[in-house]
Amino acid sequence: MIDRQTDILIIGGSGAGISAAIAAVEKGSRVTLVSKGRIGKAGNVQMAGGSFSIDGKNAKELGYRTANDKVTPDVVFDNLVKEGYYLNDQNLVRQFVEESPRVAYELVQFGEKVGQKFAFLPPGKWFSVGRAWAAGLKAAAAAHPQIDILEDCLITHLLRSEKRVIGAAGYHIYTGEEIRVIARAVVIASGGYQVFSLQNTVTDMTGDGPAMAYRAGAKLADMEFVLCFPTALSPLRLRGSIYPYLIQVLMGKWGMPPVVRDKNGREILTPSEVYELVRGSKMEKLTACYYWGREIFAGNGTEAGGIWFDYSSYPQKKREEIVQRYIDYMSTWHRRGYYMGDDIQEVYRRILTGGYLEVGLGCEYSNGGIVVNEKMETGVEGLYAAGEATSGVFGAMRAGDGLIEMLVQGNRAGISAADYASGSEDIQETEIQYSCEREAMGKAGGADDPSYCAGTPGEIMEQCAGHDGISTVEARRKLEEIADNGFSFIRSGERIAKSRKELEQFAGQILPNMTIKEKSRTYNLELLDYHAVHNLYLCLKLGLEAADMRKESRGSHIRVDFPQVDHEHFLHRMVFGRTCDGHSVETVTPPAFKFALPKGSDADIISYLFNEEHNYLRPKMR
Amino acid sequence: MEIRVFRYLAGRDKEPYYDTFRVPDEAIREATVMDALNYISENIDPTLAYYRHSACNHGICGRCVLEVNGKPALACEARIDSAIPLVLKPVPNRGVVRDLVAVPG
Repeated sequence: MIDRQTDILIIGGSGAGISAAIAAVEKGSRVTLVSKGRIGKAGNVQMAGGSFSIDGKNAKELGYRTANDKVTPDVVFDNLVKEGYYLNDQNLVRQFVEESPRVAYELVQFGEKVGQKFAFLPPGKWFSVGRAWAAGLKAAAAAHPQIDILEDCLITHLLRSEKRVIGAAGYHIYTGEEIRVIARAVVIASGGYQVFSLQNTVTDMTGDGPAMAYRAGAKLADMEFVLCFPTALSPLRLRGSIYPYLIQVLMGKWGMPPVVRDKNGREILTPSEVYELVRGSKMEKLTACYYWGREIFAGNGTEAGGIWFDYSSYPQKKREEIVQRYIDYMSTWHRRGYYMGDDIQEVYRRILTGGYLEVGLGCEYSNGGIVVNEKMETGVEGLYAAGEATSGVFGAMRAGDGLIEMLVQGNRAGISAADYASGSEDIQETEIQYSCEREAMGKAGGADDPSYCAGTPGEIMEQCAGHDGISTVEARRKLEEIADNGFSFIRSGERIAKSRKELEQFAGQILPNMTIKEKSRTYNLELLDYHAVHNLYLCLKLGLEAADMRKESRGSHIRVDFPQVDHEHFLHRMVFGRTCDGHSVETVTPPAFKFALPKGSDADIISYLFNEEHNYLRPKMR
Repeated sequence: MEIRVFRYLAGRDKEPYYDTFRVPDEAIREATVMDALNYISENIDPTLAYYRHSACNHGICGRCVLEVNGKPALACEARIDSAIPLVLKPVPNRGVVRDLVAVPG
């Protein structure tokens, strides 16, 4: 058994976790960081495709002459709240805006030191590639060798005494060896939940953080909001790549947006005034879901559930010129003809020869997660959270950068946890004893998921030995099917209800009977999926319940049966908390210190953007 | 097509052996070795061990390396040609954790 005692335990080895670890050791804390993967290669930092931004005023002060200082922190704040459909916690938005220039610039410095390239573009963003940011983070972590790092380890549950969280436990994925870390404070920085079959994230996004925090008493909110965007469907070897989005945005910016067609070749139009409004911003993801998604939802999508990008109407010369420009531009960061490690020359060939590209809407990000305040406190003593595992900063639509969220929240969580740890009482042996005897407090699935127990590998295998159901691997696919049907980019009451029913059957028949055939703990994927299935099940269950209750459309929650953005009745967050017999759900109005929350309603999520009363600034601030 | 896969667990298996899995061509048309391994895991043998617990699937993290027909390759990038028989092994010289999973490099 790997047994550690430290000041701060950080769970997660990507942007939020590393930022938290650095902040905490710089304040003099002893830190153990446990990552499911390997530092620099774990989590979603490496997947990032485009740019990340700060406000232009601070960028100018940092010495970037081309920055547009009219895009002040106030303007960024304004955009994030309005593009989040006012559901954001404005305290978190303020923290995000105020603290992002410093932490983003630090990461760029670390990246440049190890030879990575970042192209600065106005108003205040750096264009680059995930690998460059991941390399910067890895270098930043390496510059703090006092961080004790455990890689390739899954944390399955938090340990808590009567009054506070005092550590966490899990096992090493390669050896199956058990791990226990006792700590004065714990930071969850392990990412979001990814429940769909078409995803463009790493495979780590299994909802571990939100699920274990919830079991230990933290609240979860905004679980109904997930963000999808254009993602490759074919050829199969490129499935999940985000090259279609980059092509759409960059070639679009250069005057060659794709003509989008349904399965019958009929054009799917995005009104030009809408395209002009969102062009080049993250809102382009939302409009893709809205205009293309509704056609896919209505049965007009391709067999694989997508649409077609068609470039054949552009003159050959223009196609050649734009494709060449794109290849040249991207070759700063990628091998020529490649995007990331994928050979995409086939894609260029299809654009040039008038062939079609099949594009789906793949899930990128879960807005929902652990409720935190601007100090990244969760409300459970000793427990902090940062990054995609949290909720609140982006409200109903993630219009800001996930990478910036990781950095600013990770940094803040590290500082807060270190401050708490330095003033907190020593962990008493009686508390450890208590947590061992009463591990169920953070370990058992409770009434929401009675068959789950975050036990040791041995306990779980013993529990599953007598079962005769399907494998955990197959169960995970079934869960994705349920999510695809009722929880996807476009929703209706009917499909949500059907998915909820299927999920109930899944909980009754499949979850308690899942099998693990392999008896060895050594790199056991069935054991890994046992935890993934239960954690994702919990996230999907709460997400579907919130989606059902939210009888309106807002941000990336788009319902065909309730298209209105109904501020009067639904401008609140749905907050879930664990109770003895299941869970409670509270509706909480988001804190709004800068803007009063709007009243009335907008006809749909698009007309919301054009409503002059909201005074949406983005288009004036390119 | 038929895919031959190296199997071994130290302490249990006296020596390595190969399993042959029959995977329908249509399931892996235009696919990668990772797609084939996922197919086998989901539909035929969930006990098969191959690297996927923290994987990017797009040739970025570089952690899913194995030996494809005698040459080192990333599972997520190596293309399948159903006309060519496929033999999968862990990369040599790092030690085998289990099946296709080598000791992390």
